[in-house]
Amino acid sequence: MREKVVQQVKQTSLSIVQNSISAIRRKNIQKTGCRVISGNKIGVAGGLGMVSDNELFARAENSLEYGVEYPVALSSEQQLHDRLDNLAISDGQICEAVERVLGELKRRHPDFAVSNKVNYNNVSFSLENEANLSLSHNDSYISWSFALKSSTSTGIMDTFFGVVDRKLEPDRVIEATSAIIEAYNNKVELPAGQVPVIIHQSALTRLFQRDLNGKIVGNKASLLQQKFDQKVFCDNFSVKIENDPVETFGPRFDMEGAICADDLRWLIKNGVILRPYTDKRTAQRYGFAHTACGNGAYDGVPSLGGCNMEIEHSGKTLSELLSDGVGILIAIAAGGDFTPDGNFATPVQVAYLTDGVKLLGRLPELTIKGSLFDFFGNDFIGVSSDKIYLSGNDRMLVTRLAVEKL
Amino acid sequence: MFEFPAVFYSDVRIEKVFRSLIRIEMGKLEEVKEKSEAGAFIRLYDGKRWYYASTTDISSVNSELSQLAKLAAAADQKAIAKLTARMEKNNGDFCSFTSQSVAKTSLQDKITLLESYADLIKNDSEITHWSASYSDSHICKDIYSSLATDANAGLHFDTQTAGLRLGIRFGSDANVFSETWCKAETGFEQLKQLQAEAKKYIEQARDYFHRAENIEGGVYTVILSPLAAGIFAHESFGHKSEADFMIGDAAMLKEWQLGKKVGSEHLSIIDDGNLAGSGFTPFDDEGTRAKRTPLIEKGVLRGRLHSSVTAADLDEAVTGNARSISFEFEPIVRMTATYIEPGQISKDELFAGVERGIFIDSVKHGSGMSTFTLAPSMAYLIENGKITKPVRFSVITGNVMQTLDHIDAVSDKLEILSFVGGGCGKMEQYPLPVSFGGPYVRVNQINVQ
Repeated sequence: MREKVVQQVKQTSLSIVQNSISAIRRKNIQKTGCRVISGNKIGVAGGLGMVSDNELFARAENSLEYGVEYPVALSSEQQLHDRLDNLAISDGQICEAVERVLGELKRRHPDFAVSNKVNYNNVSFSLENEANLSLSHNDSYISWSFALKSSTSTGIMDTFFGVVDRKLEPDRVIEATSAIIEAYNNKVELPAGQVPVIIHQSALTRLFQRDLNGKIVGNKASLLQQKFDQKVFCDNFSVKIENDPVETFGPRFDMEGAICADDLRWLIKNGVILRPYTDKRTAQRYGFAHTACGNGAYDGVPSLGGCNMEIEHSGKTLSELLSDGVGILIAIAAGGDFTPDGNFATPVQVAYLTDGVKLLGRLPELTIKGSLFDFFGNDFIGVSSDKIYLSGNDRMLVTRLAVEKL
Repeated sequence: MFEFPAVFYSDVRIEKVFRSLIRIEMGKLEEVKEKSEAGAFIRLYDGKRWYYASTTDISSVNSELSQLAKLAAAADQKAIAKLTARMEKNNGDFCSFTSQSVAKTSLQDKITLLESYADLIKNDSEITHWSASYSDSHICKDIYSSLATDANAGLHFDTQTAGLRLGIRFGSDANVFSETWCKAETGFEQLKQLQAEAKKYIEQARDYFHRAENIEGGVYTVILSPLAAGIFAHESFGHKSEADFMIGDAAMLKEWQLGKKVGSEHLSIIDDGNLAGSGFTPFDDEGTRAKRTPLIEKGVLRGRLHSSVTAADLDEAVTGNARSISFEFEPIVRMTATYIEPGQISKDELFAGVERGIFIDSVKHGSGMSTFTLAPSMAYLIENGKITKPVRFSVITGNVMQTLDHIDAVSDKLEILSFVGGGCGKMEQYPLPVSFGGPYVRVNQINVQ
């Protein structure tokens, strides 16, 4: 049985230095991976550009001799073609939009420099095999990534704005970046009492990436090993595998051409840990449900890495979740980590006080810390139903953590 | 061969890459692959902006050059001359790994080697999860530029790494400990005799798993291992030495004025792409030969890292630090092999000076803006100059500039460490192979959390 994966990235990338476009990069890269599966074994090969499928399949077939086991049923009999590539802009249009954003930010904030990148991406990914599987994903989007620096600062970067969007909305970028700069310039004190912390989900769910990984659980090496089917977290805490391409900017299907069944997407439901996430081999090897989380390189053997997981949102907006009216929005927190027993601590280089809609000012450098079993337990407040454009257009996690000035 | 458009500066970098990867997990061969691929990165400069193209179709390079020229504005010859005056015009063949290329070693031999390391852990009842991987790369680069009088006269050089990673996890539930042993060399043969070193490391991790205790946070004197010292030098200071952060920034230039005292007299930091290992960069991606660049000498700022663009902008010399992660990206200012220079006293003397402190042996990750952090993997309590027991905590952290000043001694032996399976990240470009290291470094007043 043969399977073929094709990835293509067309990109226009603008480099920005001190509010000016310093470089324009264009690329058009196609990567093709071929797999041959025979007698419970798999062989793989890959190439760049216009390569011969026959040559790749021949190489893949030759590599069967190494005996990499792949004793699973291939995905079959499905056609799915997601098209989200509606954003079509020329190089001239993107340059014009970015120059307008940079010019306006310079006019509004002459003492702040904008640097880094704006990329316009047009990506496609397809996976097909001889068992009548034909899946594809096409998307186009623009990613804004601004390193923001005060002219008096001696650091590499003071704060940041980044968003990925399927619309070209320069005015929205101007307003959001401007709001961040204004808040950065307005120093405020850390409020007394326990103020909720607003943080990107992935900063705190990354422990689940490790400890709900099917291989880790299957080998009884998870921190959560004895806690499956038990209520470990609070009632309104649920975590699901997110595979909606609108949300993830990635394919609905995994690298094995599988799509997670709706009833298996929940890893944690109402505080109860239900299952680990798996690819086909892991599910079969350890007898777990298959949650279609196979990943890997275009030219590699599909395997289990991480997965797109998301905490179910609360149905309340960010401002509604802030019962006392304010929260601490973590903007840059580099260098933190979990201890093996689930305690988390990190320095916070940039944080803002917010009412859930506006940034009210910049807080001093902080440290935040807490235990997994608390910040997703009794201290958990919720995930916002609204996406916060100022913070990467993400739904933000609100919880209570110990907060101290550094 | 290449038709460089007149009036502009332009260059072409062709990369031919061989890579192989083998992975064994919990006794099962999970992945075996090798590939050879090629691509080109083309640059053109009109004196105001750079225009780049990346392609896998080498035959289209002239067409790409022509298209970039059409995008460009009228050439500003003065600005172009300012740039090209900084560029080195190196030509010739400097490939040093062709005869012992990892591409010449069979995949079966590589699998056999990896299995000899997997044997160290596969039947260990205390290790609940493990993986072992072998990876290598042999990258040949050809650089041609419009500066050459003969368009066919290019610069040809190569780099090579081969390495092993053993990822192990002890325990389950709340009592788990993960550690990684990683070693990279410049050839396959050098990896054949490292089993004893790997085994010793695994036993150290086992001991840490069994005996490590939580320790109260607070302010401690900390001794950094060569690995921890190297990460600290790289994250906390190295990135600040990359001159692209200084372009057009008067505050940065004033703060980072050469000759300024920025650390204790015990501190000297060097970047040197000549050193063998994963940071080896005999020429950068603009064709500049590797340099030994002192960044700090005895606490005084002495240099910074440059591409031709930043060197021209700051009126300084190129340093061989314009690097990209692949032919898909433009070269930007990056480190190569960055290390703290050794001092005069022995490791034992260094430890003897600590009444109660922390020794950080291995590190999971580090970061550094104005505040740095290092997340330790294996750390130990020092009491009365001796290591007494393994301890657990999340991170050490502190203000970068204050910490540079709080280094009060360094030991007398330098270790440079090389890696596979990761590297340095800067903006969109990750991972770039680098190496780092140093001696053992003693630092006072470090915040342990």
